[in-house]
Amino acid sequence: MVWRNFGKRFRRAWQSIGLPPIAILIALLLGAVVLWLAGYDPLIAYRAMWQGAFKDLTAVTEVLIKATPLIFIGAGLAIAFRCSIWNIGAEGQFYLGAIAATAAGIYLGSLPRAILMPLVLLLGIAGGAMWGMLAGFLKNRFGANEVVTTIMLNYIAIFITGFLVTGPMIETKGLFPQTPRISENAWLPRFLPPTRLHLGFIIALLLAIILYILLFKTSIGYTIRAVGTNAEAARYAGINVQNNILLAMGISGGAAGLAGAVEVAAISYRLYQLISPGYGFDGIAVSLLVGNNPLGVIFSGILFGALRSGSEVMQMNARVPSVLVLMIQGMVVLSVVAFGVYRAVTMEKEE
Amino acid sequence: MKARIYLLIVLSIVLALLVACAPAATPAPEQPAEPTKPPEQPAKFKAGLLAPGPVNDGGWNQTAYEAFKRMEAELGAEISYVEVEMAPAAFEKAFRDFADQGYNFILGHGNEFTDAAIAVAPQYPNTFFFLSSSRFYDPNIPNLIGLNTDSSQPCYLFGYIAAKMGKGAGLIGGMEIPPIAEAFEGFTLGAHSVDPNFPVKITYIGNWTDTAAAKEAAISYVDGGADFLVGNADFANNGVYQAMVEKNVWGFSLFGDNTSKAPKNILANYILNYGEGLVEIAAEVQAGTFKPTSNIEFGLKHDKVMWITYNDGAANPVPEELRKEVEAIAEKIKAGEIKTLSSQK
Repeated sequence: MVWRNFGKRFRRAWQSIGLPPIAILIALLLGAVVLWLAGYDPLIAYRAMWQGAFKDLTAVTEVLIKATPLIFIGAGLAIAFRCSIWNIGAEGQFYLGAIAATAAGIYLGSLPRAILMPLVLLLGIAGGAMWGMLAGFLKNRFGANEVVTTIMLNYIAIFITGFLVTGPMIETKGLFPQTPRISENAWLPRFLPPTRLHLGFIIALLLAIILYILLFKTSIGYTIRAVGTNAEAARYAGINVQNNILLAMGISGGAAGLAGAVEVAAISYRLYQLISPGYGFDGIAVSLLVGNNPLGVIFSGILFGALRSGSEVMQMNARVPSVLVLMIQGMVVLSVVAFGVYRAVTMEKEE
Repeated sequence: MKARIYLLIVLSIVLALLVACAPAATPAPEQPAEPTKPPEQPAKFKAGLLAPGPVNDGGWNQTAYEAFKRMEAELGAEISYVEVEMAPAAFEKAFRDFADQGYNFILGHGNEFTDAAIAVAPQYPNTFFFLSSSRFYDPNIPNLIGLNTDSSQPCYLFGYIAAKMGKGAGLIGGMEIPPIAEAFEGFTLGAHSVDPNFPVKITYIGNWTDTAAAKEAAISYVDGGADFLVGNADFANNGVYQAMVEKNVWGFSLFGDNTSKAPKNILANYILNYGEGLVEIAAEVQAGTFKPTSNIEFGLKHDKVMWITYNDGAANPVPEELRKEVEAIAEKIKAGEIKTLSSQK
């Protein structure tokens, strides 16, 4: 009996703390085999990857910078996924947030810093939330599947951006498809110079904590989760399912929009045609990786940031082609998700 | 069952520890080797490329990659490239990663890298940063140099030939962006230097792929009286070549030899070898003789980078006297006596 209990406890603790790192290590081991088969020295490659991500303070802050949009998007998506709303549209919502923030940063550039900076972020949230709630509205009103509508809305958002940066918002010199720089009053402050670590990272951490509290410690979060678990039962219990769907889409869209606004206000200072390399899609994995827990998203976001950051140095120093690097990243995701499923299954059994 | 899961976990721990320890252990023997390397080759020239896409794309990125392979072969350079994640957040780090490792020649292959290069270059004054398709020059950041190719110069010559030999010209562009618009302006100025009333019509089809639209535009120009056609729309140029063949009119091709696509109709090709330009600059940087005082504008005077070839197999080849005239004009362009863009000083 004692042994059994000990074993059970040990396993519980182990599953929550130990499994994700093990999953990553196994994926890296498989990746090493692939690298070796392709004729590269896995040790040199992984050493380059490690150095790229954690070599010094600057490298570490770059990891956090790359993690920032993923934490925003992942934390927001956790809310939607807990409501069983499959929002694949964080990419588009990110773009809408970036558009709104850029427009404010350019056209309201004369406003004082204390007003403009928060305004830019708020408009980013509003832009993303609107784009997300549009899909929520279509689902409620017409029963349109949100997977389809959010994917389509991604394209629309990207094409709107393309139109804006080649037409109405093109920089004054009119040379390249990008907007002018936003007013310096809209720039998010950076700390720890000369690194680029910016206020957005702190905001992302705060947002993850706030969304965690909202989801697990408030009645709003409880109803969202209730709708997610069983919408019919929730409706029978007197919960307004449609409102909760709108709310979940608004929150996840707003978080993605905020990510777009922060990217513009802290990193790029202007809008490009392809400002996101697919953050919205990575965010899905970031959220699923930790079982849609907004707090866990902080860690999975940083993990993804580190993989991304390290992979470029892996290309540079170990001469590993980018396709192999991407494949290893994919194996890490697959492995962690597989372990996540394993954990969920064993926990269910025990409960 | 549970015992097996245990076994699995324990096994994976052992495996994990093995993997975790291995990378930690290997640096030890390698590290002493590293410091001994520099004395052997004190000034290994290192060139790094930031490519905005796959380096085997058969176009823009491959041009740069092949130039870097030449640097490796001809200059003994240590080369490396990174296909950058196309996020502004990634650009600065990529520049910095190269510069931190002592790379001497770092190329951001496209205008989109400008902001990041401006942010990074001042912190590495002993490293040269370059931007493709850019006219950037700022005396305060003397180690960041824009590299541009001035296609208006060869197009000026084509305009001159067209005005001497034909009745009118139709130019079909992909999008109205500076490199395309400037090429057409050069053509127009060249044609109008012969006859200010020579009709030159310009249209942009709005993309780089719509062969049918390019062909229609070209045919409508021919029907309107033009007998010279120039396409500057990347892949869609094939439509322009088809129109030349069908309507039996004359034309030129830009950036490479496309004679095979309209062997009787293309009178001359403008050849651009950007890689040669990159290698030349890298050689200067390596030798320590690269002391720029402006951005670099590749033109006809860089005769290994940019030149024109005639098609002697055409049904109506450019006559010998006209070639001599063109040669004389090219010399004047090289000397700066003839301006091929109205914006040039």
